[in-house]
Amino acid sequence: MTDRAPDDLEPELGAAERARLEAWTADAPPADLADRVIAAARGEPATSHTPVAGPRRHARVVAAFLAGALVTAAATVVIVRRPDSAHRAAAGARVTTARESIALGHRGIAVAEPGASLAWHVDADGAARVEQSAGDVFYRVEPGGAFVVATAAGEVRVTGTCFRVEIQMKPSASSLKGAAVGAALAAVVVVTVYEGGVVVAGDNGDQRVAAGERVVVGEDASAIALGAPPPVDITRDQLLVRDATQRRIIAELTARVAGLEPHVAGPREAIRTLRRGDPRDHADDDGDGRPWFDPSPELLAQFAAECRIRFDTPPIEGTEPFQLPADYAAEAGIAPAELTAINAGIRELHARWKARLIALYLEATGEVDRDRADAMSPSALAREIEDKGAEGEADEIRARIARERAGLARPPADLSQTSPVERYLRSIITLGDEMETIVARAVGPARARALRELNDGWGSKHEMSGCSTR
Amino acid sequence: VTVAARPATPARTPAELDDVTLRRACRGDAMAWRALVERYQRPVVALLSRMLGPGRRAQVEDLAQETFLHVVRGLDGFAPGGPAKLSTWILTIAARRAIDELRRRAPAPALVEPAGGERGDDALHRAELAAAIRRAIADLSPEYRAAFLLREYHGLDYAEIATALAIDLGTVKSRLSRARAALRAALAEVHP
Repeated sequence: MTDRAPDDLEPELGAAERARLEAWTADAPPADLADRVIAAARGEPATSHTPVAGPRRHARVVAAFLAGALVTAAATVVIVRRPDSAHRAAAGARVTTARESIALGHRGIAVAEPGASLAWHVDADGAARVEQSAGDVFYRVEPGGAFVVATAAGEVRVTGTCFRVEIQMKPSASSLKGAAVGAALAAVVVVTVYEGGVVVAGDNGDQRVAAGERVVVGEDASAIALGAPPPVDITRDQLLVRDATQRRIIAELTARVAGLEPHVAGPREAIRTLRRGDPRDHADDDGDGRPWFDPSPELLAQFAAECRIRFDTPPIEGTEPFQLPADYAAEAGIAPAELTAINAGIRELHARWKARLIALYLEATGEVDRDRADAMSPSALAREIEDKGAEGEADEIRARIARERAGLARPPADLSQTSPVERYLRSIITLGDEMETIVARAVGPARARALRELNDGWGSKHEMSGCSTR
Repeated sequence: VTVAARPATPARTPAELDDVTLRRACRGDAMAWRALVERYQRPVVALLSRMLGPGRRAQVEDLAQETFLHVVRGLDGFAPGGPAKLSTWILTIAARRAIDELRRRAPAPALVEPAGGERGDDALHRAELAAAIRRAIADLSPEYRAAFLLREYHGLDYAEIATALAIDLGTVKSRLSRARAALRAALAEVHP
């Protein structure tokens, strides 16, 4: 064949011909493609091609024990990266379905309203960056380095302590021209400052916003600082209206701060405690002398009021069970026999967990193809189960579990009568205990507990909170 | 001869990844990588499976993995505000890997068309149609095949195809013209 262009090109295909092309359907992607890419990107050499039957099919993560746990979509996860720094590096991501307090490492608290989406990364030296792609989030920031909230319309650099970022999707006049409706939305970001100040960096340059001020940034919305000086030609009546408006806004802000402070108080205390201690010591984030994953009765009562549950999980979310590397174990003071017990425990629990999830998945979805379920990773199965829950169901279950843990309610007499979502939630929150029991068979109960406490839990630390308003 | 800017049917590529997730992916955030892979895996696997043909599922999966590995490792070099969309860039990587694979490997196993069985007339007709299209595409060289698939199944315009395959615009038109002629001949064998 030659590439020389012929004099008469074959005409474009018509609509009818293109419709016929649809008959040729394509293969669907494998269920674990993302797992494989992540594992290869993190833990394997940059080879251009490795055999299919080789390690690429295994979600083998060797970066770090804690980083090996894949994140479930419904959980806030704090990943401890460097245990030898003064503070803990932390990262995580969250899409909220109810109001939630989220600890941003040792740098602050985010109170996210339902529908918010944010991801954060806090370095051990304190530099913090939050990517907020949607929703309404209140931030209280502790001193200690740069703190940036990045949004689609610009960045908010914090010089104060207390502010709110709200992202609204609004029709955009410019993007409506010739664009599909789905693309005709632009992010408009509203930043309200309660204490201190922030610098909002948008397309129109930097703008300082002080306490009591609000600024709107985004396409079709030039920055408007409500606290800006009045125009020189303003009339007395206009000045009175302006003054009344500002008083109302300040009253709203004050009331909002008052309403949010109790919600923030618990995590703030936890952060202070976190900053005091050596992370390599046994966890005492709550200042009660107890491990992080085993809160005191007082704390459990507080959690019940916040509909909060806390739990740890071993790294069993991937397609294959993570195995703790020997060098990490040696560094952490884990004996070879204990390493063997831990890795065997992870494998055993991974198999149990997956079997449990498959059963729940088949029940929740009505799927009859067991092979299809078998090909899915535990995290994928969990997402499917959660998605089948009724609206608000998970929030209600979480609230009940929080009350049960505080001794304020009794668990259901017959769990088999509960929904798949409820059995899933009740099962995932006990995985840490289950792992401890398995490891205890080999090393004894006291040492199993000590091993669990080495890193505040078996791998990932999860907290879910926020009471439904329904 | 009328040359339209884009196919009349909607592109088979998904909405682009949002900027925040893309920036997180650039910084090595595994959750963002997952979002990226899950966003684009369907068109990538579709392109690769049509490029390589039937009986090569394992190779398709390997190439898909290699494509996304290349993507996550090369995100620093991708300019979000640049001329190429992320989807186009990813499909370009996939197409080039498929072409390399087809040049390197032996011909695909002999095509065994699925039996009609007890399927209804409509299903049978679609199966025949699919087989005819597959045969027509399989007869094209890898470069022609890639141009055709990127155009007709993924909605790339001529300039994007030219960039993706590192060829000039005239060559794109030429390849598409020949591919269309082959396809029309194949379709003519199957009653509408």
